[in-house]
Amino acid sequence: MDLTGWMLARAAPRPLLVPLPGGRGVRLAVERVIRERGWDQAAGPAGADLFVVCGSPGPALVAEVERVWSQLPSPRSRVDVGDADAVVGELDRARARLAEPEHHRADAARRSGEGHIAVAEGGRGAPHDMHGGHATHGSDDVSSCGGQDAHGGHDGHGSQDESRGGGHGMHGGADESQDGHEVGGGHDMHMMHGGVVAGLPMAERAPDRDGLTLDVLHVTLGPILTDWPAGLVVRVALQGDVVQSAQVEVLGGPGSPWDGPPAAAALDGLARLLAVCGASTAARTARRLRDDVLAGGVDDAELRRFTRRLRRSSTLRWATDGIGWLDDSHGDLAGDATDRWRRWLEVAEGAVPAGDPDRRARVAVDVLPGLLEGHELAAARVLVASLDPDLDALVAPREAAR
Amino acid sequence: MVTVSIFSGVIFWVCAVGAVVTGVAVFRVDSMARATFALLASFVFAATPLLLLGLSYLGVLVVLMMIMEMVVMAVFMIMLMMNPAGLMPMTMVHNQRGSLLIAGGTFAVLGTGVFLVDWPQRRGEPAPDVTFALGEALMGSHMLVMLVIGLGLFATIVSSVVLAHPRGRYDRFGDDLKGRPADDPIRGSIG
Amino acid sequence: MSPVQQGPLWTVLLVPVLLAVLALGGAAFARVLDARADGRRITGSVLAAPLAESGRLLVQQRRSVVASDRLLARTGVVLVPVAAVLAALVVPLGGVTASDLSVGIVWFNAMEVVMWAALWMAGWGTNSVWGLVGGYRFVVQGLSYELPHMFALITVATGAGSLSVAGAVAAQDGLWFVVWMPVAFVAFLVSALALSFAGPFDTATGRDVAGGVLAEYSGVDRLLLLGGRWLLLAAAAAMSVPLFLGGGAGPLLPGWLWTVVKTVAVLGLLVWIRSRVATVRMDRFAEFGWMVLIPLTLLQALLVALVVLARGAPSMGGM
Repeated sequence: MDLTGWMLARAAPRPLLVPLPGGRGVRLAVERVIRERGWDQAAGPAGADLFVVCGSPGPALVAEVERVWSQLPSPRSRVDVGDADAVVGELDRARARLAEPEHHRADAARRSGEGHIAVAEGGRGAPHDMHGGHATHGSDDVSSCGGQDAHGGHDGHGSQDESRGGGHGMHGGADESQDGHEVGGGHDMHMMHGGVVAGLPMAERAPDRDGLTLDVLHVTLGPILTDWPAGLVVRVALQGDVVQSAQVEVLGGPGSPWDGPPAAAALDGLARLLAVCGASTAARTARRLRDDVLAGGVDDAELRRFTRRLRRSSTLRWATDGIGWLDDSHGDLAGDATDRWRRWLEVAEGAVPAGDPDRRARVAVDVLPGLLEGHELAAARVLVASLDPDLDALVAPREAAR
Repeated sequence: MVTVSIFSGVIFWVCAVGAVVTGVAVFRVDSMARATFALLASFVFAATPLLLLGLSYLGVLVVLMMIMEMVVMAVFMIMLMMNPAGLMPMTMVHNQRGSLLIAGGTFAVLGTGVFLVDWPQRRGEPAPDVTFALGEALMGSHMLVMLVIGLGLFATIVSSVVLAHPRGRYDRFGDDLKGRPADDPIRGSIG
Repeated sequence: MSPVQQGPLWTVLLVPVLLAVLALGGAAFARVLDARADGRRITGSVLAAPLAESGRLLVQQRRSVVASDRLLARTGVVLVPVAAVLAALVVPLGGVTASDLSVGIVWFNAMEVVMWAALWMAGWGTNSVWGLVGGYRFVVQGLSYELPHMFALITVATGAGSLSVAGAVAAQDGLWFVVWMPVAFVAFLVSALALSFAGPFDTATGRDVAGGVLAEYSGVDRLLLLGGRWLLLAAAAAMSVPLFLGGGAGPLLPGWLWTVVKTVAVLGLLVWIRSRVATVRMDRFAEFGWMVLIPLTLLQALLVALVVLARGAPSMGGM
């Protein structure tokens, strides 16, 4: 069992960041620390062993956070950071716990006790038979698992929570069939309407863009999804991976508008867009430059070299050209995704941003459903990242007005 | 030499039994995805004896083509053509009586054929390149005809796809064919 | 230069070992590039990160989703590294090859097409939206890169008058194929990245779909997928050397060392491209593959065929 600890002590942990509304300061601090330590961010719960909650989940989000936490494979460690100053200490402690066998045994014991509850909470009204399916599934899975025997104690329960469609379960959390036909994860594609398999309702069918009748899958993007605006939930109906319709919802409590330098905000949004576009090295550089700007010591020559390189990048333009076109009445969101990130580059270089973040977020949330329709999932992610609504700015005045 | 023939005998029988078992599995499993890949496994088992005959080109090519074909077929079967059965258990057999009759009849005819044909004895040595020799034996002087037929088949496929496609270039580029970028539901990279 | 010869049987066992070392080297180089972008110092732990990460995944719990098709999922996952090693069997190291197949080039192609089935099964089997989208994305990608890739291989075979890798090496005595088939070489490198779902062609495992095919895999399953991807990239880089870069040909150094040097150079180039370029989405790449790459590689094949005809065909059927 010490082999596990020894291995884990040598490998860098893979944190899954959960940025929550109002948690921007914490997220920036965490991103800075993990970048300096060389801990790569996980793309989803399956790839993570460190769960970092940035900010405090309000009542709207607590169930989602618990659910995604329940989907991390063991050994795992969790840290809830409420204060940007506490980040280093909290991450150190979480890291240390990750290599402790006692911690894993306790975690496994807790898991076996709470498994069903976690799913039930997460499911928000999901059909109950769902959990039945899990239980059996979880335990027989384990018997065939090599990896976890090493820690004794991880009997099977780790798997129970992979709530259906962990895929969407995780990130989108909510496949909860509120109106009885929403389906979780991978189910789509496979069935005629009305069926129920393993306690999960099947997809429906509808005519599609090309004159065929394809399955319709309802997927929820957000609120916990990597490189995604904190607190945003987009419910989409997919055929294949083409968005047929979308509804936008904003979750979370009051936040505060960005009070740092606008250049850092622009680089922050840029880093998310670059990550979604798969330009991982450029995203890393953008985050580093953002942290330098926040610390007040950015190297201007390097910043300009970076922006020049992006402006010349034809593959980045390939990824963003023609996506989410808005006319001039939309202020500094006008143009396509390429125009928007080029404007960020100008702000990063010191230009004064036009328009205020509150109005930008409001416009973005208004236009999002219409723009998403007809896009493929990949383009939809680029679109959201290029609008990058700062929902904290939106939520703050709304709460104040109430 | 003896060990080699035992070795190939073992491989042959493993593949023969494997091909039949996976072939049966195609109709016994309850998911379209599994049926597709069981069929693929059956084809791969059937391709391996070609390698034993020294027809390495044909054997490897069959494996290559069957994988591509089956994956594309899986996409079509599951997404478009019929009630997909990834999760909802579904039966893989239709018209059982008719299929049984046809299958039994075919098996009987081929099986009888095996015993009726007067198989030739080997004279001399196999050609250094068996695939090449086989091609010449099959096609011989008809090579040109076969090539033209191949081109004709390909042209037919392309033209029927073009004709069947609901959107032509006038839809994409406008009546004067000058509209750029093209008016597509999803924009590509060229225009 | 001495012709490539079949090595003793034990060299087959050497292939996975060498390939794994190469793959670890490639992964370590990727970590170095990451660390540079992060502004970190390059230390021993950065270089050892791929090994440490493998260890972490080995002790991690596996997981699966309700109603997943575990048979297909695990078959797909296991096929990825297995196909990579099988593809590498025909790559000669200097003058020795583990398997001197008469149709080595077709064999390599067939093993790499196994990836279509493997990734689709791995994506479908998890029963998750992200996995499914990732699996389907890879099939689209396959349909876009496979034909240019095959034409590139056919160009080499035409130039060599042989389908065996040894024949391709022998035909480059004097003039490397990369010199007079540059388009085929570029198409091969592009498809090398695409077939190992790496770099700009990582849509199947993209961050935008929470890891796609990888989204539901943890523990040893994840290790097989991630490791298999690096093995594939290494195998493709190694294969480009006998196909286009003259195999072990070179002055002074022994043949095996030249092969290693060239392979490392190609792998380094691929990893650098991988880190430098944004992901190419399938809606863009499908059109590019069919409208640009296929015509270009066809023209290249035509050109090479004309050259071969003009200088008198090498003995047909003498493979």
